[in-house]
Amino acid sequence: MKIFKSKIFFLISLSFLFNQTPVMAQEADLANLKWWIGFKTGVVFSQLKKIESYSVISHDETSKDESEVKKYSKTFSNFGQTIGLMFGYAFTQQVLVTFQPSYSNYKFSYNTQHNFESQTGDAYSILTKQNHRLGYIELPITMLFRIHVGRIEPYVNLGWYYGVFAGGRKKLKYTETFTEAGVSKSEGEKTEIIAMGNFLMKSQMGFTGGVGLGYMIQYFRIGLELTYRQGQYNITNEKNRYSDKRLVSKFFEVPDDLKLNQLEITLNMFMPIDNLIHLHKGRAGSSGRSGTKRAWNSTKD
Amino acid sequence: MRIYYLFAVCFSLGVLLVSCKKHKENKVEPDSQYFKYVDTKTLANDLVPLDMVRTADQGFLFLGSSPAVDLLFHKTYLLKLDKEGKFLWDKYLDIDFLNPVSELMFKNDTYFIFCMDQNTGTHLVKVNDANGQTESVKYWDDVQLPLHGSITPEGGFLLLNANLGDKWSGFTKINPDLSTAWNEVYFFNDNFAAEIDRHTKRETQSLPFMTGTVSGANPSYFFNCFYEANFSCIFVNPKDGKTDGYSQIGGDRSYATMRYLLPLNENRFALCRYDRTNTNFIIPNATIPILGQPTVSTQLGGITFADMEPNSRILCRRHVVAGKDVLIYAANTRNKGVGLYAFDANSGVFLGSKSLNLESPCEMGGFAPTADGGLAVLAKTYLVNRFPRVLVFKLNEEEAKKLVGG
Repeated sequence: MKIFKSKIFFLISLSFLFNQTPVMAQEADLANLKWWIGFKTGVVFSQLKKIESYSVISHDETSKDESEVKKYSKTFSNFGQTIGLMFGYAFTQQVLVTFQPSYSNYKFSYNTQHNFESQTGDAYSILTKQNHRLGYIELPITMLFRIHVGRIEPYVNLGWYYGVFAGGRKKLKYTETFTEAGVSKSEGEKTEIIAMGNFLMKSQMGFTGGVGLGYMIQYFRIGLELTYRQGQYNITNEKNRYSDKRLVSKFFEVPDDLKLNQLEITLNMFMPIDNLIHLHKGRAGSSGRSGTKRAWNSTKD
Repeated sequence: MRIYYLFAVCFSLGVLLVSCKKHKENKVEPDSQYFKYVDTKTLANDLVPLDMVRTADQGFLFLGSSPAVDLLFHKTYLLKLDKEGKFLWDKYLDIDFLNPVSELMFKNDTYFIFCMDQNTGTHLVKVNDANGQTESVKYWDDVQLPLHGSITPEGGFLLLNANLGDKWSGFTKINPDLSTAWNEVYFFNDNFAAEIDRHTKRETQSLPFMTGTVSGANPSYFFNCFYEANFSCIFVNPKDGKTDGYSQIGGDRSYATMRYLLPLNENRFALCRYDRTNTNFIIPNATIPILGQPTVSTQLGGITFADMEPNSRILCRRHVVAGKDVLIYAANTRNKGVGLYAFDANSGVFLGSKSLNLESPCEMGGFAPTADGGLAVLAKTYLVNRFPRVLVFKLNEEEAKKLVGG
């Protein structure tokens, strides 16, 4: 349901931005302006790359069980959200440096199953579904290379990001089945919430790259951007892997070494700060449009 | 434009340096620190953990025993793990090799254990830890009921045994070529035979039988067993096993006596004794005369730890941890975990302690230092409070340092 709502929100945002009236458009070259400010919002898909798998159980030949291997959810089912600000400085018409502090919410899940037997034939099975939600404040710095085709501005960006872990949790749903005296009994599904702060590094970093398409509308440039972020190092705090006794001895669970990559689709709106100056001047004069022209001319000077 | 390129290069280098540092700080080798349950469903419910050692390949060899339905005595269980605690092999030995005594002995790249057959004769069993092959290298039908064994500095063996019919404790010195150097008997009072019988059938709490070697100006062998009216630690002449002129640490029958003895240097020992309340007293730096007048165990004093379970089995080992020469005692704790207690080996000063416990109860099997400066502890536990399994706690170097006071 939440995913559905987020998708609706995304589509409404998209339609709003593209339904801006062309009457507002004008021929001016926004690319000449130096300082930019804006915001962005969108969806983010987490892609977990397993570096190394860990388990608290070492099986003998007779009790090896393939069902115990963690099965991570696929990228396009790891649906999260992102929202942030954008600041930019144009070195040239083609090259813009941006800083885009944002808050992103990453989601992923995996299932595990553990089965144990005794010499007397009694057995125990625990099936878990573990949903994770991790929040990061991300601070990417990118170089944006663009060309201008009329009002349309296709661009690519490359850069680096630093993410600060801002909290997260594991929602662990589990079902235990006991087989004793030949009778199997299950107590139904139970849920536990476990804070993830101890298991994850306080920060992460990596490289970011993407493509986008901007469209100039009078005082704004709106854009649709597809960005891929490649996590550079393990997000799991290896020193704390075994720190939760309950997780270890009740759920037989320890986090794997993981890299967190992300595919981000965002809508953004960028506005030259120079335009704010112009707007002020424009309101003071008789016409916004002629005022705008004066401001661009002064910027060029 | 040049300034932009310079900025980009400097920025990239900075990012690379920060990344490398971050990655290095977080890196923990898989064998450095872990918990590992060894899932062997063939393990019997009443496994008694006895000993563990670190093997040459940095893995671990675990010794235990389990009761068997058709046998009076326990079967011998061996388990081999690699350095990451992963299962390599395990086996219950044949019923000709029962009741292993609690020490894995190392000689010429091979491990040995003493155990007995159903007629209570003694086997010396060789264990190849690489492949799990075991074979009896010597059998003594006249040495009955082995109770403890240890290896001597020159590669021979000391074997403590008992004869319940004639009511004596036997102490045997075996040469490196496995011939018998000497065999001495020490008579005890009538009622102790039943106690030894119950011990060998694991019907009661185990008695702290021990053997060992004291080196130095007054070399000696010792054994901890019933002698005359008490359970005492007896020092003997290493040449013939006679007690003439040698001292002893006298116990109060088996109610209060020595739990563990580790010779340190000359007549210095790291000890543990217990009293009639079964409270363990740690004495990390005791001076005990080898010759002359006996010492009374109850007058030795010692330190008690509130979390240590009364009647707990105790192990004490001398190791170098974080560059310090330390004594580490291990015991079961009241919260059903394993407690480690560290002392300076030279001064006996207490350095620190650590309790290892999970949601399921644990029983201490043994511990050993590891090549990476850490410490491995093996224990028996019950998965889901039901299924017996061996559990490995591996402490990293940092945790081992904390245990010994940094």
